Amino acid sequence: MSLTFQQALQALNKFWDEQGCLVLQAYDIEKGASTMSPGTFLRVLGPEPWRMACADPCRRPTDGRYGENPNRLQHYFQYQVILKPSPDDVQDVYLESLKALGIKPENHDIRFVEDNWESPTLGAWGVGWEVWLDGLEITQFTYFQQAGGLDVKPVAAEITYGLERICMYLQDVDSVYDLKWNNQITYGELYHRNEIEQSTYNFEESDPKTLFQLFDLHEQAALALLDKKLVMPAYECILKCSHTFNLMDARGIIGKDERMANILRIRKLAERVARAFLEQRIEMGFPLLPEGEREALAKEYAEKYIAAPQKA
Amino acid sequence: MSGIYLLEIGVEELPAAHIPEAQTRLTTLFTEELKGQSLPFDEIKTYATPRRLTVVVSGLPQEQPTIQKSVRGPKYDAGFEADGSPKKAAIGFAQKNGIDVKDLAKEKVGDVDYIVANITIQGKKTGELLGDIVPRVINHVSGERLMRWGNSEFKFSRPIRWIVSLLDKEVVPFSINNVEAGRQSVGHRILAPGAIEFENPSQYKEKLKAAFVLVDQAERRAIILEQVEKLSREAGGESKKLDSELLEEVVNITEWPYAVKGTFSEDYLALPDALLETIMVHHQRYFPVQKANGNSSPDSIKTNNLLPCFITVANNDREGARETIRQGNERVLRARLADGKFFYFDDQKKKLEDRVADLDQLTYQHGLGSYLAKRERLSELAEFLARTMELDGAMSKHLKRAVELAKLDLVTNLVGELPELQGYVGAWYASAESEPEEVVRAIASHYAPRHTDDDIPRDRVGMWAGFIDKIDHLTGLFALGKRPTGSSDPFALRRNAQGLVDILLDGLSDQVVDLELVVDFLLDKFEPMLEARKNNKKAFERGRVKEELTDFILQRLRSKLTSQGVNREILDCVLSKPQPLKEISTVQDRCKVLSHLLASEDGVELVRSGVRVANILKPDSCSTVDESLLSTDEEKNLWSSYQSEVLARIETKEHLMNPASFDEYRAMLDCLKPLTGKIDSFFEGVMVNDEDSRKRDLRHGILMNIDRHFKQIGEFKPLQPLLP
Repeated sequence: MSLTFQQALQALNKFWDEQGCLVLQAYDIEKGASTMSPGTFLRVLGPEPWRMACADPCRRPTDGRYGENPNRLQHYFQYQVILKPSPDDVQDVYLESLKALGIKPENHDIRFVEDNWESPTLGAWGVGWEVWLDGLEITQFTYFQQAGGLDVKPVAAEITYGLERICMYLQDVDSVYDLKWNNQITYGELYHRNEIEQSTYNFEESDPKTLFQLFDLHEQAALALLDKKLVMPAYECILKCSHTFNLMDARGIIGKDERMANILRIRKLAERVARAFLEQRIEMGFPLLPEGEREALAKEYAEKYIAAPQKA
Repeated sequence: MSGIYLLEIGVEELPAAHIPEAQTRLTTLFTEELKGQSLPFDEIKTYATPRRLTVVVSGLPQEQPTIQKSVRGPKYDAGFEADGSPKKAAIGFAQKNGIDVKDLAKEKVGDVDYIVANITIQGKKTGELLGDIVPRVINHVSGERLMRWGNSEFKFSRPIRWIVSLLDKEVVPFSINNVEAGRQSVGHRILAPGAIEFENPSQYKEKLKAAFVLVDQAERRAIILEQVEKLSREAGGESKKLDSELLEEVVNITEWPYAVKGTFSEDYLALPDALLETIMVHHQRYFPVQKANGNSSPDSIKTNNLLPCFITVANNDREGARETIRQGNERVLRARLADGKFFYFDDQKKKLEDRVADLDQLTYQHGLGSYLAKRERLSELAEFLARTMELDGAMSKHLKRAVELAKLDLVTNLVGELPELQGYVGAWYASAESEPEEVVRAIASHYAPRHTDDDIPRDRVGMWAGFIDKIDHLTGLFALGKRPTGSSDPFALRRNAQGLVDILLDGLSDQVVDLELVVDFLLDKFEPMLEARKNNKKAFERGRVKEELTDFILQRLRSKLTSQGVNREILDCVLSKPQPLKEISTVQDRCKVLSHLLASEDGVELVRSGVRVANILKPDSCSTVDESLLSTDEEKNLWSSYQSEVLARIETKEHLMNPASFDEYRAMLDCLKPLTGKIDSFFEGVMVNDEDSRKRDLRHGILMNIDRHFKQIGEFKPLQPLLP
């Protein structure tokens, strides 16, 4: 019996729980990838260890296909794992997690194929692979090198499972909408109508003028909040900016030069909030570090990031 | 007894393209380091899989050779008393060199005696040296994109997880980023994940083989070839892409290759082969299979020669896994083909021309506007060329149409999905819309050469369209100040310039193209776009841009002709014209005519005269001749001979005044030949640079008149070294 969607989710939760990870609940702001959730983007900064797993919904307005394409959705789930520092046996642990999903590696062709990742909007990049299961890309595996323009040190391993794809494979269905969420209800029942309506909204019905205004408003709010060192509210405004930008992109209303300019605007905000978060953790004395290391590292980071702040 | 050293760097899966690069680096670094330590060796071999980089050095000695060396010390007088007893300086010097004072010797340098220590340096043990050398080598393998992992600062292409370091039976110990070198490796990730221990290097390949790892790429390549060919034959066809980069990539992403054949629905065969192949090759690393005796014309943009099957090379040969692997891959390909088919037909619901407005949303280059602006520019340039280069009516029409349609596929969904198909997609859609065959072919071919091994377009309209696209790209990016630096060339300007030169010299060789005029035309278009940037640092300076662009194109031209065996001196002559781009089309002919000339005796003499004339003239030499001042015989002879024998003939024919082909240059030079002897007597009989400025101007004037014909070829001065 292959796993239902919710069983697959539970299997991963259980597996990563046993690996000593926090199992977090999804973050409640629209984002294009789970990387943008604070559990990844902010927590990979600084010297503190962090181990987390979370099934996170993602929204990519331009990927909407009105529910007509069996593989492509504008709203889907990523199962995100962050292991910082990246353990030496991280690939083996990952393969173990596939077993938890009922995938026996010896019965398949599993490959780690080079795929490097870069997000100009987040000032982030990493190197790694896409993991192939019999030719199907099921996971993105990234060693984070930079986020928000800051070096990620220690390096965090990010494992992002494409949950729908894996389950389609396990359940042997060709359309995402045929996936069993549980034994009674399909993925289609839950999300097909949503895809049609959201695609219509993203491509046709969103109001360009409003989107432009929202982008500006969220940006202004983020800047004001950053000045007040309110890191999380600022961060959420930045995510809203980013999502608004994606909506504008889907609506086809961003001019050629504007596009790049907007990406740079978001990136500036992302870099500022990354720094603000790090400063906050420094001031808190890095509570997640072993007690003996806190003081020295807080001092070292304070000298590097607070004593000599970059020009505004 | 000679020793063998084995190094295996165990890593997480390396990027396939990095592997051959890393092997070359390892060989170079080992060679340098061993030579630097005077350690001789027979051979350095490297092997690699995605998870290991291996070096085997054979024929190593037990230790470095022992060296006798003499070290000069202080002056003898400063070291020894007159009675030969040592002073402090001598004692210290002996100590420093580890020998006894009484073993010090004396050596005379010039008139002075010095103390000399003759010492023996015992060679170090090879193992000890390798322990120093190898970490340095590993540190310097480098690569395009290095990474950190865990808590380390150390960088490598992918994380290092184990190291085998064996000199014969002994471990050569060292550690890299907390990984201790030893004698343990690991087998295939899935099929034999346990540890493997080597007693000595000679067990290496066999033990790995037993653990499902073929470390030698040649062995993997042979197996892949054999299996893929066999499966293709069984399918009644022949494999494609076996000679391509795909094979090398597949070799470098497997440790234990096993080919598996899958099939897909025949319905997809209605799609163009190039579309199916791109999906199979670029996205899935599959080998396509084509009909054994299929007929495909290289000129056809749409061939249908494939069989409905593919071959994937798995990294697992377990019998129990084969069926799952086949089914899994078939499912993936099915979804991808379905996507491709959907886009292929869905795109065609909208005519190419109806996509013009969408081009405005697509940035060509920040600072150079959108693809819409580019399309307009290309179209205007096509018209301009048709007019100035006098293209015939049909050609002009097709060319303009081709460049107007050429970029429209960039805003189709299919190219959005499969960018490597740009050009082909436009051609397929244009063909479906019944555009003329010439236009269709040019849309597909105008990107050629698409990579370093690719050829220029084979069709005439495609050559022109490619020429237009490339010169627009080059001029635009140079105007933006984006010229390539070092090895970095993100805008593929080198490939574009090479393509441009190849098209002009090989494709459009019968056509005179004034590249200078084209560049000016484009700069006129770019200048207003870049006006706004004038304030910032990278201000647009037309003169500088043109100069840099000219140099860049001429460099490509030079290397092309040099590789064809043209002398540097001849190239210097031919490319010395004040506006080299203006006459770029005749460069090859002018080179040829000079080589030809230099091969005959009277030709050499003519060149000699040309060089003599060129050597004495100055840029500001007087160029008019006041005939009333002619006085000496030599002046009169040369001038009248020039007038009656040369100019009288040349003047009658436009092609001799302004030659533009090999035959015309040769005919023009033949006209000059009667002057050879007279130029010699002129130089012998008169003082060209006379103190009397009137005489000087007259003589320069005569020579200038003659020189302008030589100058049709180029500046003759650089030819001097070629004269016997």
